[in-house]
Amino acid sequence: MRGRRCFFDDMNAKHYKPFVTLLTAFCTHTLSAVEIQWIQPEGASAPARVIASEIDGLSHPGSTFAKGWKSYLKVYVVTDAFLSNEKPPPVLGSCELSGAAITFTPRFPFSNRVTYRAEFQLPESHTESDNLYERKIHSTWIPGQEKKAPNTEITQVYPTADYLPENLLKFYLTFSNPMSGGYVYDHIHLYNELDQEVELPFLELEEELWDDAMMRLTLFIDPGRIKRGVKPLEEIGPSLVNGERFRLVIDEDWKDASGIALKRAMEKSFHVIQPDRQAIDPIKWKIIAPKPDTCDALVIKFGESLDFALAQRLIEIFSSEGDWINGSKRLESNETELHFKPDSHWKKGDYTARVQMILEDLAGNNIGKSFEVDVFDDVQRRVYSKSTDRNFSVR
Amino acid sequence: MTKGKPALRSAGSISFGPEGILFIADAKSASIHAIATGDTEASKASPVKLEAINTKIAGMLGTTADEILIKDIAVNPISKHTYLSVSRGRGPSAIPVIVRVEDKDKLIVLDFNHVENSTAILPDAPEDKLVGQGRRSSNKRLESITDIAFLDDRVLIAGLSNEEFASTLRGIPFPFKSVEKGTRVEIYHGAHGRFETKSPVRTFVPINIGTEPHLLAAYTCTPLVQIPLKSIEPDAQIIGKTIAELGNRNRPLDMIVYNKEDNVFLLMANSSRGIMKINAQSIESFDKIEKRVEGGQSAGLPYETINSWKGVVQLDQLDDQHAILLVRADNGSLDLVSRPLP
Repeated sequence: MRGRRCFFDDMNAKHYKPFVTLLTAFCTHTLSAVEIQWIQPEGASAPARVIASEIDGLSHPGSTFAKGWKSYLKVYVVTDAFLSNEKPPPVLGSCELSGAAITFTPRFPFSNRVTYRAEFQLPESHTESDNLYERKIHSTWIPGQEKKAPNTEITQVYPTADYLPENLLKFYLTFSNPMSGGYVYDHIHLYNELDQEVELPFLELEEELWDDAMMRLTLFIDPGRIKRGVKPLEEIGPSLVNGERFRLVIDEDWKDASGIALKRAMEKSFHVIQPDRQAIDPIKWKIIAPKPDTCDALVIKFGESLDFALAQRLIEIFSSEGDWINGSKRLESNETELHFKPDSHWKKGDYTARVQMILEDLAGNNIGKSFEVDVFDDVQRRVYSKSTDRNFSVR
Repeated sequence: MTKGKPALRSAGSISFGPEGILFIADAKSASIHAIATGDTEASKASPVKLEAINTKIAGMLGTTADEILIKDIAVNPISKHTYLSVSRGRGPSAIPVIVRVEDKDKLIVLDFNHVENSTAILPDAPEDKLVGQGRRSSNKRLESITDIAFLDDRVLIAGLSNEEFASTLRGIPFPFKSVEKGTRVEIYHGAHGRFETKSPVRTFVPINIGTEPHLLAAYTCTPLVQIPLKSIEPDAQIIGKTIAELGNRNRPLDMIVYNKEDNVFLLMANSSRGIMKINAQSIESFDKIEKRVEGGQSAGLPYETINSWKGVVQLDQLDDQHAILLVRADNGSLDLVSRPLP
């Protein structure tokens, strides 16, 4: 048996991370010169393709050996799952022939977290031995071993207030980097003040409620678990209880999109207070108008915490001519205030803050309509207008 | 439909239409893609037993089982082939992949580079039209699509926003033209004694009740609600008829409707009750539930629990006699198996 190191293009070599090559015996002249190389472009953390070269016999294109070239080079994922006799399926990809070399390019890019094994195997008819080990060579690529330092953390849990209503509808978690999804509920826990974990407090959906960048996750408290009226829920209690303290805990072993765990766990402790069944009433909002010829913030004080995402998305500012005013928005004071800074100076005049009716407070009450409609109340056929206005002047 | 490559950014729920057309819910691009799979040769169902299908698919995609997610399964009623919608990767740049199972255990990863396809884009939330493109692009609002199904002449879509707590139920006529707005569906939760407008539809299934097409929709904390198809029009407010209240410790995962021995049954996979088999024959004459259901009990249609079917995470009907199931085994692997309908 001869040992042989796999190597790759000299020009890429200096940035290549260590890997291990194993070689098995070969006893026919056909395999004596074959080499397997993993091609890893500069700056990449995983190979782009793998090449088996110096394949004697390919230089006779008419031969049966040469005609069968597409099946000689295969790549497999190396994982414990295939320790038994069963052969894993080969990685999907395409082979190209060039001179005496076959290049395999995977259909989906190789991962920098997976061990791969490339096998070059001759068909039976071209070796003198039936022993599989004597007509196959392989090369294994192992991901870089250095541990990457955790880099991602939870930047905030909304609502930020320490006192939350018993009929709280949702949380938002924001992260400093894109996260990985699929099993999010395994990493999120709600504990009551006896340190008991609340069973299934959140709406667990197959399609998780991420934003496009996967840096914000929406958690809905299961509406079936929100306490209604005086009688407790049967079978399984409410998620939150007035008068008690709870902790929302996020595990640090939740991996980000690069496969690295969070920097640290995150915990939000809060007190639960009476439920909020009041619709939002923008007439009660306090508006502090900015001065003209400044880019000072317009401040709208809601008098209560509103939904973090909706308070920013559903309130827009228009001039008296109906022109939309471009600017940046920020929520302050535990999401009880919206601060709007225009991109251009305020001009003197009248303005409108237009608010969509589907705005929500922490309990999911909208403008003019609370989250729950009691069947015993007088339920008129509701006429939905889309928005409501609050006017203000810049003087 | 035009020939080309659909702009598939994600693949969640899948469902078959006529003639081997596969509908794919793509929440990332807020659209539904219709793809002609070309899988139109009628055949009999083969029994399926693919252990650790997640590991096998991952291996073909060049990764490990913990790096893929199997989002949904659907059977082509013509060829009886099972399709899986898979996410290769679990981060924002995950790649959507559709896999077809042929014969007993052959896995084919479909190539959509050159297929007949068409796409329906779901409209933005109405309030997004208020301002220009610039603002809309900074929106983090996305709608998750919890289930889709094809019935008659349209694709039905149940959706839930990641911001406002509003669930939508839409019918998009196919072939795709323009997309209608969401439909507000009001239902009455039997166990809670109140109207509930807001719960998201978790899973639904088309069913004919008498001669009328309906949807049976399962909501969180499992009331089961019957909604006439013709009432799903834009901006309609419908009272769905609650026909079963299955207790509030549940997450309904998947449902199918099948006929057996002159009866119509509903088979529902849910998180804590296992598989429930419900006799749906009497839905037509069933009294709706309006009073409070005491003690967290179930009420409404009688059902039985199929105790031998444990760990089912996805299910679909394979043929008249069989279901296809994705089952999580004790060792954590996902197995795709066919079983006789109970």
